[in-house]
Amino acid sequence: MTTTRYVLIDDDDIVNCIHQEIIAICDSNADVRVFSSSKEGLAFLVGLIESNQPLPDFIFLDIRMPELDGFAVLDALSQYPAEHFAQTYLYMLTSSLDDRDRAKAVQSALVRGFRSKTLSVEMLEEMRKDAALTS
Amino acid sequence: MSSEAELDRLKSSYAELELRLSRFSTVQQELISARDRLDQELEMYKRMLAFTQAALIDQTGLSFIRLVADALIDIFEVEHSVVHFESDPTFKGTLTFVDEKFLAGDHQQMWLDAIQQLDKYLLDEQGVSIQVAQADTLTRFSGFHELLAIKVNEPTVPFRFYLIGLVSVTRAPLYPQIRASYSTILGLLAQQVKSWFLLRHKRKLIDIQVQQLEEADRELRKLSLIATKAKSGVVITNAFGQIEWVNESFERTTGYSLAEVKGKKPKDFLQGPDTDVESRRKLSEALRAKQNVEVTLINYSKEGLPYYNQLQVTPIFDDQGNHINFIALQKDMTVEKRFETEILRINSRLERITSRSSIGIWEWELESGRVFWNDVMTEIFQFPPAVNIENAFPAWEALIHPDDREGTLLDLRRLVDGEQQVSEHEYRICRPGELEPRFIRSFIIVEDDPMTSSKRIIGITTDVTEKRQYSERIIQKNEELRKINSELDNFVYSISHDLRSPLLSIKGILHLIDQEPELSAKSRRFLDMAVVSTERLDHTIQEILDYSRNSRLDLQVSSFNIEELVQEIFNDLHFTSVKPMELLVQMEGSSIVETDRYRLGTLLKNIIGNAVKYHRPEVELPFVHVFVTHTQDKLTICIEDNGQGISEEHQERVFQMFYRAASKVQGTGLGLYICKEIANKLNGILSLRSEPNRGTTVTFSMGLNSIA
Repeated sequence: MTTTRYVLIDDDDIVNCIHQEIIAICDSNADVRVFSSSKEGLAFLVGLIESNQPLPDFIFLDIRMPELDGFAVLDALSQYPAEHFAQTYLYMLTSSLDDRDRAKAVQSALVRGFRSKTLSVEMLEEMRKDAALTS
Repeated sequence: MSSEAELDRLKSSYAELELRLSRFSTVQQELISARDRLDQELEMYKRMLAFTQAALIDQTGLSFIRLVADALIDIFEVEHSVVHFESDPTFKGTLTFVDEKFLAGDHQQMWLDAIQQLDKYLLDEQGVSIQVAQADTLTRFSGFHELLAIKVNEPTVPFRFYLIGLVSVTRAPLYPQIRASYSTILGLLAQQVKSWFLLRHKRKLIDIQVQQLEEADRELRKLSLIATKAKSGVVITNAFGQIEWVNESFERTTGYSLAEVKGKKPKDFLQGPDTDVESRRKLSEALRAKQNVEVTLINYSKEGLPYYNQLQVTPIFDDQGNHINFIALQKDMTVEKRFETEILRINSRLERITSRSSIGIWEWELESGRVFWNDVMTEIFQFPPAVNIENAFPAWEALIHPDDREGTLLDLRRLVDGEQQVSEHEYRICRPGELEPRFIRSFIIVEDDPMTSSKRIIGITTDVTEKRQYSERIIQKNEELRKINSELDNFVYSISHDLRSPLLSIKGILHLIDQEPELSAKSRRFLDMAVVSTERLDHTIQEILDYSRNSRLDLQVSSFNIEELVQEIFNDLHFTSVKPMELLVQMEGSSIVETDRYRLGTLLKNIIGNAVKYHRPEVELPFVHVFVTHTQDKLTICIEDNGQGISEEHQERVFQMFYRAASKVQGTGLGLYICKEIANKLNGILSLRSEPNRGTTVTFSMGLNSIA
């Protein structure tokens, strides 16, 4: 059984904690990396791309973060060729109700979806189904 | 008795006999001569008769005069004859006829002079014979021995003529002496000539009268046709004012037929309550005095409709001066009167407006260079009294702000040169003694006068300084307001985000607890309560945010797919419903619409959300059906459910702020209020139809041209 790799980027530790728990419930074979700093999270992903290593299966990216927000991270990732992201499901997560955020998020080709925080078991199941990771 | 004595007696008797014989022969001679004379006179009368008979044959004036001239020679055995006739040019004018053999000077003026000389010797209608040698003033007749003449004067026609017979000195021995008895015959001839001319004149007069009558008849026929067909109403009354005839136009205007009004007086059925008393008095006074009159007064048609009647009445008199008729022309002036009133009203209003408002008006006639302006212009430019038509232009030019002078003059030049017909221009002026320049707005049009083919430039000038200051202030205030609005929006947004983040974390944690398999029933019940409470709080935050944004943000129109929008809303709601529901969207027309996506989305989210929230659990398959109809100018969205429905008493109030119909279900009472506010912003209409325990249909429709 192959490991599913998750990257969580959110400045809210509690949210990260909840999401880790949710992932644990759905996926017993998960490899989860958590970044509470968007800069570090971006650096990790860029490192993977530049060293030609595969990107994680799921990236959950918060929008509102200090220093570098979710869109800035997205912009930075967009500099790289799209084929790096072919196997990656990137979701923007937010507690914002601003429709403009949704509109902006779905514009990017890298973004698979836009979800309101926090993830529930049902939502994650559906994402995994979408990515055909569940039988 | 002695023989001597006998002889003497015999001698004496003889002598006496001889004497008697000689006397007798004288008598006999005289008798013979008298008989000859009588014979000659008889002959003259016979010739006269011949003339009379010839004259009876219809002749022209000239041939008749020729005949008279011939008759003069024929009857009186004179050498030459002259007939001179003078009359009004309309009759025969002046003409002189001289017999054919008489060639001595046929010059008209010579004869006029000659007749004038002769006239002194003549009495009217008395023939005379004159020995030219004894009459020293007849110089024009020198060379003649004797003349026979008569003149006739007819003052009634008028004409006069002269008949003259002449015998020249050289031929005199060959002609018998003109005798006194001739004058009678000459008088008779003159009478005949006069009669002929009088007859001819009368006949001519009759001809003229016949001709005039014919013309009058033709004229009359023409006039009656005009009267019948005339646009103006025509009324003919008798001397008492009773109608004898009216034309078609009168019948049309008044609605009365000729048969109905014949014999009636117009004032008895045309005048009414609003007929002006003063006009009525003027009219009846003029009619009584039988004078022409013109009045405009209100009349009434048969149907009782008032109309302005311009009335012109003319009394008609016959040749003897008797008054026989009135002819009245009436014209329906209602439209003219209305226009007149309207024009007067507009004019007075314009005058009021221009004098009271601060609109400067000026006019410049290019041809004459004449300039007119109203008082407001003087006020705006503060022209001193010395500024007049001659120096207005330089005075104005001097006031223009140096930076604007060139442009302003160029603008005017274009108008004068005909490159432009209209100009709207703003410039600054610097009035003496003022620090700040003033802003002048000028609107100028060029008008071609078709009468004189010259140009006129008409301008409207207003001082917009204050207006500019106000509008600048308004723009500034607006900008401030917009900033405040956007700050407020950001504030609400941040607050909602900051409130929501921990709330969502709580929700996540509750969800995690829910995943725990070993929870006591009590814990699970408390957990459910905590979940409901957090849901409610989240919903409230969302509604406050929606309300704030709808009222503060400008419309943001974009193109989007409405079917996808509804589907998205369905997806978001998917997890909130416990029971599986049928969520369907049906599209008619293009799914790409152009409006404010955020607002329409919020509206639909609320209504669809309500439909989901208030479903009936007992129904086997609860559904929400969304029907979208998109035409070129209208977007209609129907949201239909088979849920709990709203009772009639609540239906009217559900759109009110904080009104909550269902006490069982949680809510702020803001949802539908926000929907209605959004509908207003989008210029749309939101309506609701519902039956308890059957379902609800909410319809939102909006015109697509009304927003932009």
